[in-house]
Amino acid sequence: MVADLSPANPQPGQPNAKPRSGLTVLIPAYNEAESITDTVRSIQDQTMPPEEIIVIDDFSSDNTGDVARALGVTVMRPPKNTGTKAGAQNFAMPHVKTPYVMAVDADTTLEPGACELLLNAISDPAISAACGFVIPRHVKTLWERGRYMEYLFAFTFYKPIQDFYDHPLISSGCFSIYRTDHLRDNGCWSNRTMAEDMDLTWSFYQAGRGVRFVPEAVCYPIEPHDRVLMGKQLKRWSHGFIQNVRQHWKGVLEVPFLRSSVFVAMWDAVIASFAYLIVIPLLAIFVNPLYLIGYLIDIPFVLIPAMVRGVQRGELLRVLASLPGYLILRIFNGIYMLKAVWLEIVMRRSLRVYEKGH
Amino acid sequence: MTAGLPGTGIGSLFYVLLTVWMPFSELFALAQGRSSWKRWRLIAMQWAMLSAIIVGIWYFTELLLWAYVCLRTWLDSSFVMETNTGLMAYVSLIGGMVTLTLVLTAMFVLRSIQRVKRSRQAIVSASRPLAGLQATLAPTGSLREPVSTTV
Repeated sequence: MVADLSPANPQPGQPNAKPRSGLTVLIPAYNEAESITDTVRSIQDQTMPPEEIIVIDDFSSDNTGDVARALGVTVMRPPKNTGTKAGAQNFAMPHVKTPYVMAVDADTTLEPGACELLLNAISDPAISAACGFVIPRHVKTLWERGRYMEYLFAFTFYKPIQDFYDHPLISSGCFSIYRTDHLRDNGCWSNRTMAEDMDLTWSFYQAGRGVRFVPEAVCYPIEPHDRVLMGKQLKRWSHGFIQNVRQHWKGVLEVPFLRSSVFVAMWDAVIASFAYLIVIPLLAIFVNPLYLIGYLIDIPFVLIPAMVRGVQRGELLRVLASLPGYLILRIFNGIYMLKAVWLEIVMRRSLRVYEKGH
Repeated sequence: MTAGLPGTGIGSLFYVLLTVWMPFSELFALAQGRSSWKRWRLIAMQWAMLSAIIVGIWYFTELLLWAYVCLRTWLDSSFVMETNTGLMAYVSLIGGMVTLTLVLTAMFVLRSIQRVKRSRQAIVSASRPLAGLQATLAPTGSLREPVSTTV
């Protein structure tokens, strides 16, 4: 159970004893009237519910705030739109009085035991943040299917390895828990990059703090369902990654394991994208069409971990049907990544406008 | 969010090698009393997946080559496969290993350069208070000779 057994908490055995989680959940929301109910309900139904749920209605033009208020949670509304998810979360931080704080996206639902699992993980004083397994809630369109495969693969094969070596690359912003004092020591979430979750994770590591990945704690965000929304998200993520590498590379060099995974990811972002989009087609045209199998040869590498998780979830057919989506999404990933490298590093035109894409 | 292109490039090789190393790393942890059954179970799972991946890639490549030959023969009945695919596979694997080694070596070189730079900066900043003192005292003639602050 959670390590919060301070005298303020009723002890087991006392009448009406209800363990206090010591947790506040922050839900930044901008025009999320349609999805906020599911999110709040899934948090209220947790086996270890939070002491307070705060919805930060980031100057929505719809009735997000009213919907949230009707669900019995605290609603805060800044005087103007903060411009970023980090800004909205920071707006609520002075109100947080609990030792733990969790950030959950307004379009993300949680499995009933998810909060408790993350609270267990963060009860270790050396740990500053913990994150869970992310699976798209809707898997219908090509883009959602691509993202479904990407997540199943990355969270089944890559992330457990990163956690084994004590350095998950990112504590995902859509569902993560933090020690409130450590978060405050860091200045909460920074606005300096488009990927505030990566920024925070790498900052924790540089401060000598730990991050954990808990695969049993599952959350379900709504992923972009069309090309336009996916484009906005990929743009934000690719620029965010490059911005974080630029921001942190000197500090990251001093963090074992993280430095290797970041450098390898950066190499792949540039060179693998270039090879995938330009070198393979040129080789296929001018040297030998056989090089085209370069697009397909690594399918088992992605498919097998995804199938393992798919079998566990009883979704094997969905996994198999989602493979083409992954191959297409990978091409788009490469395009956005190369564009981000060009703009951020060569042209020095850093992305500063946060465009919501789910 | 995910970073880069999961499942593509030398990242795949990097994580394969990390998986291979997992039991050896855990043996060190065991010797230090930090090991657990949960971690060994994870290692077994990752190794099982890795084994399936290697076998899968092997047979899938065979399947792709067979399909390629069938397609080319169907388009041109005189087609004969002349490419040494085994050599291609070895070159790709060795190329990947060499690239990964170079990337990681470059990272360590960069780290060493940064450390040297940082220690030089530390020496310079340590010397600054004396330099300031020197500038203050110089007009009075109390401290005319340069003071070496390098240690």
